[in-house]
Amino acid sequence: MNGADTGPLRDAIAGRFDRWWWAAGLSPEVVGDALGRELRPPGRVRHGGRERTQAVVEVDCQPYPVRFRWELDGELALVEIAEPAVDPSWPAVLAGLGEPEVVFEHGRGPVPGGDQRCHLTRGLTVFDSGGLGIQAVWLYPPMTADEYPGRTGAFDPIQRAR
Amino acid sequence: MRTPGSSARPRPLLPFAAGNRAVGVFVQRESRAEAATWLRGLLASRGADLAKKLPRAATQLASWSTDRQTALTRPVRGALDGFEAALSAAGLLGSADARKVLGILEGAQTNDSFGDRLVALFQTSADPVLGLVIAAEVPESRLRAMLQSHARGFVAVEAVRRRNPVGGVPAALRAIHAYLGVLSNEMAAPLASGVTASDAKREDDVEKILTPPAVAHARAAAAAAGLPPPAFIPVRYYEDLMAALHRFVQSQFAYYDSWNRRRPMDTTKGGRVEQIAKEAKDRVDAIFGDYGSRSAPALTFDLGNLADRTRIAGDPVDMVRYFVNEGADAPVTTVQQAHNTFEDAAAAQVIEQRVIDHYSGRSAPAAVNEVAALRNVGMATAERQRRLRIIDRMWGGAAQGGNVSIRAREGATARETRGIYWGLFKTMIHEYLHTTEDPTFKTWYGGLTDSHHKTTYQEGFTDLFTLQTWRSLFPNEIAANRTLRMRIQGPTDGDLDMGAVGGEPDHYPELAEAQQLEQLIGVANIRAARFKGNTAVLGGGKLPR
Repeated sequence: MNGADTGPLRDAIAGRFDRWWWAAGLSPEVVGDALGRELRPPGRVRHGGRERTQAVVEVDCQPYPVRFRWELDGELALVEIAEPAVDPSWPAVLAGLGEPEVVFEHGRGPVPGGDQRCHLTRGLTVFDSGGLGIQAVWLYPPMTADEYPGRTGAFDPIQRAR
Repeated sequence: MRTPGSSARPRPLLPFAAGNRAVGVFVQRESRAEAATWLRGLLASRGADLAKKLPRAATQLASWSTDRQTALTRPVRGALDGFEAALSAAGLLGSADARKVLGILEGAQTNDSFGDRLVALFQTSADPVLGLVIAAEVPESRLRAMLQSHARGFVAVEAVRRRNPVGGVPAALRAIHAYLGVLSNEMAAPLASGVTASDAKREDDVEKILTPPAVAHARAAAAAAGLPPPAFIPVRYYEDLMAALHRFVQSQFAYYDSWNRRRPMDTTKGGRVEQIAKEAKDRVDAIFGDYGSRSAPALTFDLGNLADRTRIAGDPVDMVRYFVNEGADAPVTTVQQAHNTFEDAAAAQVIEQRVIDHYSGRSAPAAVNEVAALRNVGMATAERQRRLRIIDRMWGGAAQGGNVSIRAREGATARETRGIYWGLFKTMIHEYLHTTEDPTFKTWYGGLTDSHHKTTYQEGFTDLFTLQTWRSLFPNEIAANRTLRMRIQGPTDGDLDMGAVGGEPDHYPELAEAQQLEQLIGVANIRAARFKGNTAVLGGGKLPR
């Protein structure tokens, strides 16, 4: 295990999203240790135009499995948390996050009801779906608004079988 | 050659081993033994007798093949070889009846053994034309899958063309000769052969294809009547769409709710669902692997790119978005056509987005007419959301971000579950194909404004390749290949049950446009765009817009 600080990740997974900051070294092994389980992604997947590894993990504090994606060099690329549980409350966490740097209006992407409130410096997006609540939170490395769609797939559509 | 009735005990020409039940229904209303006798007689025919029997045999076999949708699992190689030699000697190989008979008898093999057979015929048949005769009767997708998958497929295709110089090919076989030429070029240079630059004419023709028939009709009718061209009618579009949407959602709910009450399917790692996913990838890659699909990873629960969507939360917004946009069906499409939404997609979408938001409960309407329209649907927000979440969770399949999710629910009976497995296989072919899209292509069609245009490229092209994959194995490969059936139906269930297999996969209406585009620009250009991101070849100078 390297010296990566896993505290912000553990806090965020536990619903304290305002404590999230990306750190280098959050490899599958390090994340697995932080979550108390062995994570060894079994192979490569395609995410947008990129090859990555991923693991889908059930954690006690979230209602749905959390998806982790890593770059091939082992750096954490994206964490997708669906219908996230929050601690202590959304108003408190959103206040802690402050104003987003960019807001992409809802209507496209994997959560088409969610305005994507992007805290790009911190590496976090809140998918705010109004009356449906917060439908997802994504965690990722700091990036620019231009990089955001390509590196996260934030506007990739849902494609349904007929 | 022994014939039935000779004194020596004949080698059984038609072994009725398990799985060879097809012969039993070979001639309808005849007994298994009679059918066998009939077929033995046919295969042993020579000379004038052969010429006389051939038309009846062609009719019988065609009728059997069509009605029963099943096939011989083990054609009798020796007898068939002799039969083919007799056809050649009698100068009958070129006849339509002979082609039909041979197509059915030879086609009744698994893809693997048929591929071996074709490769051998292409290279070494005594009569060089025999390979062409049989290949001409094979559906294009199946022929492509067999030859591209075979280690000596390319060499064999080259050989049969060399052995049959174009000038000497009978008229009836020129089309297959030409097709094998195309296939040969594509096998030699899969990423370049047939890929051509767009031009102004292609762009105009693409534009015409992408104009829905109802729109073209309305425009023509207006012109004929001396009226101005149709224009988007925003008045009452919100109200009409809201009412139609609600009717449609309610008409769908009972079906999806019934799935919600079924037992979960086994989704363990390495289990049935993963087997079906693997088979889907293998079958897609047999046709499209050389053109770019093969590098897409297999779908497994372990990799996290395969999931059971019945366990997700369900998204009311996306469900409504789908019903209004790419998944629109009557009565939603009826309203959209009546309001001429195609004539100004951007303006229509402003209203549609409000309908999506309000019906899903993302936000509440404020305008008086919109408040009234939502109230008129007569169902509370929470109940609408509950139903939409169930429909979403029980949707057959979806792909997003390189991951696929499917509805993993069993049937009420073993036979119903068998049918569900085949349905899942079809869905998996479609969804796996989505994971093979080049991101540049996806971004390109994502930039199109009109949902009909977008759906043609996103779903129409995917359905086009889904259908081609299906046709590479339906019905003969499924009927002949017990191992394939066991991969889909389960390791203890190799029964042939064409009722459970069902017909062609369900598809979007935009498949029709995709097929027209294939006719116009060729499949090579569609593959280049879809798998490699070469969108310039799509005739897209006027798109996206």
